[in-house]
Amino acid sequence: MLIRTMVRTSSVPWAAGPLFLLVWYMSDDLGRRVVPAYWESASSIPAYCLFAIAPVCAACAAWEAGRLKRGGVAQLGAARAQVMVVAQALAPVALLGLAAVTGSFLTVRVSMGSALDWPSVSVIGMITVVLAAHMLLGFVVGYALPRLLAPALILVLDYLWMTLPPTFDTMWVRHLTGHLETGLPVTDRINPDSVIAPAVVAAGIAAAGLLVALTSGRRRMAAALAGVLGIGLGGLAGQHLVADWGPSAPALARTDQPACAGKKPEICVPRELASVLPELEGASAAVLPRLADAGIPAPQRLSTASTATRVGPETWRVYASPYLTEDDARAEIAEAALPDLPDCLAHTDAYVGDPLPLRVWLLLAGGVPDDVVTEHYGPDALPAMAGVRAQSEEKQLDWFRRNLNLLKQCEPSPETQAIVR
Amino acid sequence: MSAESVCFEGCSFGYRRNRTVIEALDFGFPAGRSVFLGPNGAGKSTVLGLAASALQPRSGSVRLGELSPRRGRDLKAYRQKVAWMPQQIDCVPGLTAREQVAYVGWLKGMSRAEAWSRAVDALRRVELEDHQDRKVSELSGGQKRRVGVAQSLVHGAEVLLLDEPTAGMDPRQRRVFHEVLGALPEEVSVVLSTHDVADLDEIYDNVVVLNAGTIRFSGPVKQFLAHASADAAPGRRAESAYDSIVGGVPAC
Repeated sequence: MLIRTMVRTSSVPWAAGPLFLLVWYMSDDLGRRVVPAYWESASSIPAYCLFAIAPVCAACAAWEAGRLKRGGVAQLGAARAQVMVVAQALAPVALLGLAAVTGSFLTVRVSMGSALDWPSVSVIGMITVVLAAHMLLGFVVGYALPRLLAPALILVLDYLWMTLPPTFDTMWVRHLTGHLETGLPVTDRINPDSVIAPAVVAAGIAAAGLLVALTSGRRRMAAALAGVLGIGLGGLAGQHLVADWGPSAPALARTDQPACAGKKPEICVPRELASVLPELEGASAAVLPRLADAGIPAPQRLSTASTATRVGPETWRVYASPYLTEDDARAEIAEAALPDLPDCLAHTDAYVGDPLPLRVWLLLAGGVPDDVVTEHYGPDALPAMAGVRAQSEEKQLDWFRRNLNLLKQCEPSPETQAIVR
Repeated sequence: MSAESVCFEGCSFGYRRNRTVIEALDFGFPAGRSVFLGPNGAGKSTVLGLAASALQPRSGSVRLGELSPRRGRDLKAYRQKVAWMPQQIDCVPGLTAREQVAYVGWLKGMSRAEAWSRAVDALRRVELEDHQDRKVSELSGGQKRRVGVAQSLVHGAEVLLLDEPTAGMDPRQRRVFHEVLGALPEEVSVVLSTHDVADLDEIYDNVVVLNAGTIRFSGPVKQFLAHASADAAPGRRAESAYDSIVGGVPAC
């Protein structure tokens, strides 16, 4: 059959319009929220859209299987290998999936505005395997169940499989569908296991689907049993990779070279944020001497580093975004003087203190204008700190150090910091 | 031309585990044009399905020359040499007559382009070229059967297995169909199951009669007609011969 005939006579033209519209909307919306140019993070958006693409492809595949069944193709004594017959039937569906994923990447690219490098190959590979698995599963269901029931059933069940796991209390299930979370920080790279686990599960499903689709007659029962085994093995392997995970994949720091500027201190940010280096340099020149006067010595390095990376006392972890203003940059650098604090709430439900007053004090000590402090921390921030700020510089520094130690120990009693709310 | 086309060697088959339709069939369809007769439920479609390798025998094997569809390496070549038109013509929904015929050509191993161009020729032979761009689902029952015939002609098979191809065709279309059969190269063998025994001697070389899964007769038409009773009218001799072989009135 000619390609245009295959596409014209398939269910794909019916499904393409609504699917493309949804994928475009989702990709554009999410694409505007990622750090521009950071493809590693943006690549998760097409994977996120799998919640719609995969069920639609599975339903179309089920429909195509129903057409082959209705056409009695298995009884025609085909000389072609069964795998070719299935592949031809699924070709329009594969084109639909490819077009939807490509459309998603293109929309994200346009929404981001700029791009360095290319989309993540591992994510593209995972998406490919997941889509193939869903198509094959849809095909098998379409061959096994009545022609009108199968597409509707697989559409609903597949959609539930792609969307329900993120609501489960069993965390590892969330990481097996391929429906990746968006919002990867610009400091982090994709955890390879978050891509491998769903790909392994999908490969198990794909192998099972292929096995059942390619066998006929009495061997089909054995193939179905082998398929169940394949899905089980794939599921076990995938579960093993993500068994200890929480709701999100463990962060992994980027390993590529950041963009740096300045000497004392050296300021380093991910390449995608190189454009904000001048703001950070200007802000550090204004803020760091004031902090030094208040008793907080300047660091050797200001770095937008991953939370997965430990930084020494000579490095301050500064948060940078592509939309950083000069005032924001001053505030961020002043706040960066607060070292990493332990995740106290991971071990207790008790009150473990609040670093907010220390942040406000750092901003004020760093010379950040009052209106910017108010903008960042609310109208009560300045009045709450008035008492501390009225004290001598030595006493203010004592207050800061005392409270910092309490926060580091997760035991804020007796709490000496002012409460800002 | 070899003496036999498709051969069965100890073939048994049943649709259910404990019910056998064909039991230890040892038989070869004669080469040439053979008409395959038998009452309803005799197992004709099953035998043709086995010959087409659309059905797999429980035991025994089917052969065409040295090729056996049971052997994986032979299956493709076997199916390319054998064309099969089932009794029930099912077409892939949405396809036009030309697309359907071309699709079957592709299934039989032709390239897409070759199948696409040869489909027109096959449809022309069954006088359906004017309907080639109509969806098969919109065609009448007789036209669908002609699409089925075109499907079996498209890839130039050596053996044509046709299960009641003329059912539902009007007299003119039956004549056209018989002309198509007559125009086939001599080396192409045809096995055609039917209940229509008129003009046997003009169209076919051989007759095969199946009843209750057993071959009751296989031989040249003249030999078959010799079974007719002496008092059979000239136009009823085939029916009479069939009756005497099967042992009753054939159900139509």
